[in-house]
Amino acid sequence: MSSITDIVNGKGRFVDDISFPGMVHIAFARSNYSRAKLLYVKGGYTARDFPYFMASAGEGATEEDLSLRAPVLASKFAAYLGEPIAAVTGKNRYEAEDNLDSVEIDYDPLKPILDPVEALNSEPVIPGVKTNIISDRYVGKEFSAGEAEIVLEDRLENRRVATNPLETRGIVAAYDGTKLTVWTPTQSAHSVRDGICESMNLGKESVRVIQTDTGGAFGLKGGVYPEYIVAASLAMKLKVPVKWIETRREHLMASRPGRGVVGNMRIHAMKSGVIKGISGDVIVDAGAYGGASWSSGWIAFQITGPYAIPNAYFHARSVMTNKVEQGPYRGAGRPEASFMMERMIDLLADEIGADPLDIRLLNAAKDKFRSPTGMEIEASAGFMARAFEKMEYRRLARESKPGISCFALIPAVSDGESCRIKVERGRINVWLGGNAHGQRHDLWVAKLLSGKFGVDPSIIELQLGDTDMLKEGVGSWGSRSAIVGANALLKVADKVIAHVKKDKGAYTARALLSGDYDEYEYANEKGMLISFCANLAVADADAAGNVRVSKLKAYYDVGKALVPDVVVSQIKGGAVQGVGQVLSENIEFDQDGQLMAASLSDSGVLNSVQSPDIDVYLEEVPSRFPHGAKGVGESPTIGVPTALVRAIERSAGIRIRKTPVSPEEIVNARSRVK
Amino acid sequence: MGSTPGKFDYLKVSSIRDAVKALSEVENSKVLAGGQSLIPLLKTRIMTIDLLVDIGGIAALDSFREDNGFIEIGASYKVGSLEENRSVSKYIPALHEAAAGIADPLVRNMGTVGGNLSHADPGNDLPPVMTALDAEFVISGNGNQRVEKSDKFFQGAFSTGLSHNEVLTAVRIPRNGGNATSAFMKQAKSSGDFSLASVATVLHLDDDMNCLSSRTVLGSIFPRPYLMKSVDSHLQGKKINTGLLKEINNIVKNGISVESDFFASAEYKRYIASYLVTEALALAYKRAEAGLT
Repeated sequence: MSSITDIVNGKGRFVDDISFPGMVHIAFARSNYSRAKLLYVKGGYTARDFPYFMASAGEGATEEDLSLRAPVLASKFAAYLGEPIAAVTGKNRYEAEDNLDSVEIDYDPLKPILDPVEALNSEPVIPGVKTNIISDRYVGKEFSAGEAEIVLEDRLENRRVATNPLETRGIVAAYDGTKLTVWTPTQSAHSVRDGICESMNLGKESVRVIQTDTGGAFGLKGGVYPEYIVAASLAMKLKVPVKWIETRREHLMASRPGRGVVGNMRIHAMKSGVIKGISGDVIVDAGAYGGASWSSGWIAFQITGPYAIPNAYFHARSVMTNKVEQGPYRGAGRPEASFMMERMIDLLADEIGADPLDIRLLNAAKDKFRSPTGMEIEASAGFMARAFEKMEYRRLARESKPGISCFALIPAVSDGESCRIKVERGRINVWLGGNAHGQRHDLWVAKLLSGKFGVDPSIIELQLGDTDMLKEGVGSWGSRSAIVGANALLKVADKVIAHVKKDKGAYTARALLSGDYDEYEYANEKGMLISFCANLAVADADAAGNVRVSKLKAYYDVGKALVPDVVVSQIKGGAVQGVGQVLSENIEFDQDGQLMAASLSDSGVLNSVQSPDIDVYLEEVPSRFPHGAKGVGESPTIGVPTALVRAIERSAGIRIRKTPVSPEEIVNARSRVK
Repeated sequence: MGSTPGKFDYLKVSSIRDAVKALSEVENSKVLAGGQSLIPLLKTRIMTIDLLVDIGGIAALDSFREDNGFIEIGASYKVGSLEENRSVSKYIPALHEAAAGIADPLVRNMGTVGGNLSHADPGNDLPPVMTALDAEFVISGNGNQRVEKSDKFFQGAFSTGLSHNEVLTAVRIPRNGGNATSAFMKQAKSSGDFSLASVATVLHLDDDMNCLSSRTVLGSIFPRPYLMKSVDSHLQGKKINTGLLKEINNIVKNGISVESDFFASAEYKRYIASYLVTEALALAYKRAEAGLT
């Protein structure tokens, strides 16, 4: 990958920097409606040319119902605004977009169903199905209200958030008659390959996916998209290289956003503040087709978080609406789960007049605890006490109105990760199955490997993802890379060392660098690696409802911080996304199903001036892995929103049930309280 | 779902006469100033044109001139220059505040005063300020020049009194004699930086700090800047204090008829308009009291 200096100086090599002689550019004709019958489609390349369906690949991939697979190009029915219907090409981007005029689409618009709760019982949002509910599970164990002295209910909601990396989606594809090569920014080159192969029924050996410098991803770039299948198909059909780069408007309407969850929660407690149970409905706005069936059960599974709550029972449903499919967004279910739990704990604290920290400490796990949903955590009480001591909650609570949050981070450790180390001509090249998209994996790779091998870190280079250079791979998501990626790295390094010993009798750095070595391993990993985290926020809402965030703090157990600066930077960046989710980020539709955001600014992404700083405190309790690291990447998007919502709630004297919360909603809620 | 404009011709002119001539010759043509609103419209193909007439090369338009009777700001004067102009921040704080609150430094470094006014986006902030300042709009057309006040210049959302072949070349702000003070405040949409509502007020006070006259203008709520005569007449002859501001708050809240839309309910629009009017009046008056006009 390009060096950080090159990237900062505008000399990175991103997908849009790739150019080949004769390359054509692709533009897409997309549905102008959120729900419409397509009476006819003329011009361009259509589903008649490429009659493919999307495969399930990447983060959250599931065994899916085939009848719910999204078409690569819609032909009879458009199920969401911006759904691709036809593709055109041009010798440059201007010409390709000019050629969109050659596509004629006749629509019969239908009333879109945009609200997931309405969609539970409405007519199907797409033809050919009987219900919009694509996943329907009960999670936990049914329990009776029994001895609980207090039962509180509330409806909580996280609206959808666009992933919005600075670099949008994009792809370059070329076909030499036998092999298709794809260049794309990605979290997982292998997921893109597998997705293309499955959709187009190609053998894995006939497709090579090469990662380009990746300008942020946040879950967006974990899998494969309809546009990628079209690009691959066009490269093979036209036998010239093709390029497609997503515009920001396309990103906001037709790439998979995250969140979009409603929870009707009930908390059962004693007057003392002891929580006896939590129950309710989790309803995920899955969007059109079946891709997001996984997330409702995953949210329900982890709602009890770091608390020892003896009873938990949730009805978890993912329901289709006339919007683009939901996808993973930094946190991917974890922030939604924590929002449900933390909002209900604060509600209970207010009901019985208890301090929010006291009630959390009272319900923290004093020992190992297995939740009714099967989530196993270590004792959390000691961690919580240390966290709020360090963040000076008690002192701050005397002089201001801080909001606090606690959560248990569950990284996506399962299934492990792969690594390859190749030593030749005195240099060491490394490939990982999880592809870095801005997190500086290169730094921990160089640090761990130089320590292990006893060599100068400058001769170690982490390569971009490439399916021809690494046999298998999973991906970079779910706070996993420094855990399972580093684990695979160290295992492969051991193999190399063993190989050197075998060749030369003893291992020395000189012996290593004088030879050629090439080792690979897929380091499988089962089980979970849960860590505890806590946040604190102070904020004020003025008379117009505008929020000023005056203090943010994080106290996270990150295990051993492999590269502390990078850990802190990740927390700072994620905190900005967490604040954005609370204050402004949105991709809302008007009543006709038209999207009201067309730019980064419209969609509420905070700029540097609007971004508060965060004080970061790391607790470094080593994990069970040899490198000692735990997860970190998603933590700020889990803990910052909940703490900040509470801080705003206390400052404004209102109850907040939804993110984002607008100035108008704050003013209106305040006037109702008065 | 474009990111590139459709085909158009581009002409960079070095005089207003050439600009007017080019605009007269091609019906579907448009003046390019800083391009901060026009370029996105073209790139998203919301708008297509045949000819873009770039007036950025007319040096005389990038000007700021102080005279005895008025301040004249050239149409190509940058919003960022306005923000940094010491004369503006000292004598016309409302204009400084409006300029400094527009988008981000990158937009302000490119965006022009003339563009912000001529585009007449209801969410723009210079229209209400220029209206409150009772500015004159200097317009050049086919062989003639005319001057209009804001009531004639702003005709509706994205609509001005400019004919197709006319160019706004400057705005003239009358210099306030005596005790004049001003303030500008806005509420941005909950995401983005365009105003949901804004208020510009210019107060003229006598030696005893009574209001001689005032111009208080509501921006963004309506398609064009709205001069609140009921507020100004209520202020006349009075000192601004908490009691008076309460009355003003009620006058605004009950005096404007607004509708709910995607961005805000009618209730919040009335609330925020009345809040901003009282806050802006209080701020302007405080400035006068502190001698900071």
